Amino acid sequence: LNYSGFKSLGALTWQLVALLGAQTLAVSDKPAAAYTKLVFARPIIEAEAIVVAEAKWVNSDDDYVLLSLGSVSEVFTETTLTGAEAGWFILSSKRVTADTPIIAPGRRHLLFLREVQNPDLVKRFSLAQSAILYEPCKGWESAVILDFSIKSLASKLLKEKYGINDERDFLVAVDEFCRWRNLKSRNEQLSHLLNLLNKWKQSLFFVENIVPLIRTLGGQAIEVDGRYMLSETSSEIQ
Amino acid sequence: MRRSIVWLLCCALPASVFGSGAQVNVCSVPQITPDKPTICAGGSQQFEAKPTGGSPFPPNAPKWSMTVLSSSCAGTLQLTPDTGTLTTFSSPGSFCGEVEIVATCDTSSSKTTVQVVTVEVNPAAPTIDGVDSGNFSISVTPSTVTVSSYNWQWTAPSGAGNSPQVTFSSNTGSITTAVNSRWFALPDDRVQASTSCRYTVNCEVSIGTTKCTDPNPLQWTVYVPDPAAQTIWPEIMGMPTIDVRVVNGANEWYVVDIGSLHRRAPVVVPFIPMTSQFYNKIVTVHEGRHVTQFTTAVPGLTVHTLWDHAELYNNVLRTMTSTVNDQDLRDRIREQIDTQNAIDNADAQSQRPLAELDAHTISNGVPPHYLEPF
Repeated sequence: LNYSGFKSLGALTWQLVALLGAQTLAVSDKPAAAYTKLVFARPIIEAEAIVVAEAKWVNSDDDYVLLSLGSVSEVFTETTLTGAEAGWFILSSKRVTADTPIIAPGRRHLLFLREVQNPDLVKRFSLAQSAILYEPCKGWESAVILDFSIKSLASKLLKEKYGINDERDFLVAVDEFCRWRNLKSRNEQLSHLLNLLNKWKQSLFFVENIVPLIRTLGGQAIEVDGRYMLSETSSEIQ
Repeated sequence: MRRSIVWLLCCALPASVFGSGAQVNVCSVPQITPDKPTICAGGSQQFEAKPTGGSPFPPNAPKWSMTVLSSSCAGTLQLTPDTGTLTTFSSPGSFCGEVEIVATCDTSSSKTTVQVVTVEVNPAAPTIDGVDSGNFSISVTPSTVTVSSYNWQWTAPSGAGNSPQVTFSSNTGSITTAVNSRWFALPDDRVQASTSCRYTVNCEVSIGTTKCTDPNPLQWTVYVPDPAAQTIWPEIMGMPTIDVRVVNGANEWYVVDIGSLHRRAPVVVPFIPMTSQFYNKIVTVHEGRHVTQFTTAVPGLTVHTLWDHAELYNNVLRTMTSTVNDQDLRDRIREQIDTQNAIDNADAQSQRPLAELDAHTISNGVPPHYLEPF
């Protein structure tokens, strides 16, 4: 693998990719644009559990890999994994396309999970009734391999676009993105995110994540004189 | 006060009671035209009453009234003015049914009926570009109405690009479909056009000489799925051949040869039919380029070197053994294969921006020049 040769194209690549992303913003869900940002707004909203854990290989068949969660080191959501982690399993599809979350056995991941509802999938590996079977939320960003030495789109974006080389810095940021989930009223949630946005407005990673989060919650962050505020429309929504 | 009442009574009586010396207007039976017309809901009909006796009606005669004989849909009705030789019946809402119109002059009266018809087009479900749509049907109420002909029509918004077109399987049937549904571009822009577009489909229904259409036709959506196609990435599959031998008096399961281990080729899964105007651009050219990337060297990409089953076999699997049983060995081999697939998937994903850029650069050269990301 000639990765060094590939990396030498890095600057040009990101210029082209930025162009690609900017020009496709107006058209939603265009595949090409989806790979130019690491944005967690959708999985943060959809996830029933957001965990950092090691995925351990348990079994596999032609279609799926079954993994268990181990070494759970951090939980962002209100869900408590401690003591229950042995009963948690993740189903990972083997039919990988461009938007599939990728889980590597034996590696630590940031995972945005939702419970598997399909009873046929639950029965597939003859799990105990007490077992809880999860799958990653939709979108490639729902599973991030935390070993940045492994080539992945997330680590590439973090290092080359956002300038984040340290796993801890990344997790601290994601932790910040998720904390609004513990707030009850939407007013509080939007205020929290707006404060966070202004605190970290120099960070492209924060801006690209928090602005769509605010939008998903019904607000609209606009920048006026170097400071973000909620637009009038969003105030009415509040 | 008393004088006023007397005057009103006097003037309200027919002129004939005051003797025959003067020219007076005598109420004769009104003749209403048109007789038994049909109108469309939301429309109106003017009625005229003519005296059958030849003499003109007295002032403020005849008087008009209406009665609903039957109704299938609720709505408001108006009959105005309620006196005079001319009146206009209107159904400004969605009323449908049969209404009796009566013209009365003194004790003489005559009547006719007006039938109010609603037409409602039921559009086909949203349809993928290049696919024949489901049924467009029409509901004409009251159902007792005899329809002499149907004429299906369509319009696209002004400014739409990519030559909007609806070809009906039948222009004149009570039910029709759209053949080879065609997506159009709105806005007419290579990049900004939405993946879905909406035609307005209506049907002109002839009932006698009356032609009715749906005043508020629903829109029919034609769309290009997003994504329109996917390429399932290669994968290391299969299993090396396993056998058992005795080593130091104990069974040992070991790998004999590469067996069925192989690299599965990429698979293109289209979500649009071959009849779609985008099939060549998206499925053949764009996804085809991804297949090329996975199988042949493309500048800037190394994905063709991933999922190397021979390398995995030689470096990892070839020397694996188990002293438990063959299933234990197979499980551990599958774990290694699944892990290698995941690592290679992650590597391939890291190359997606360039891979998409490369594929779009090529497919952008293929018409139709819409739904292009840059």
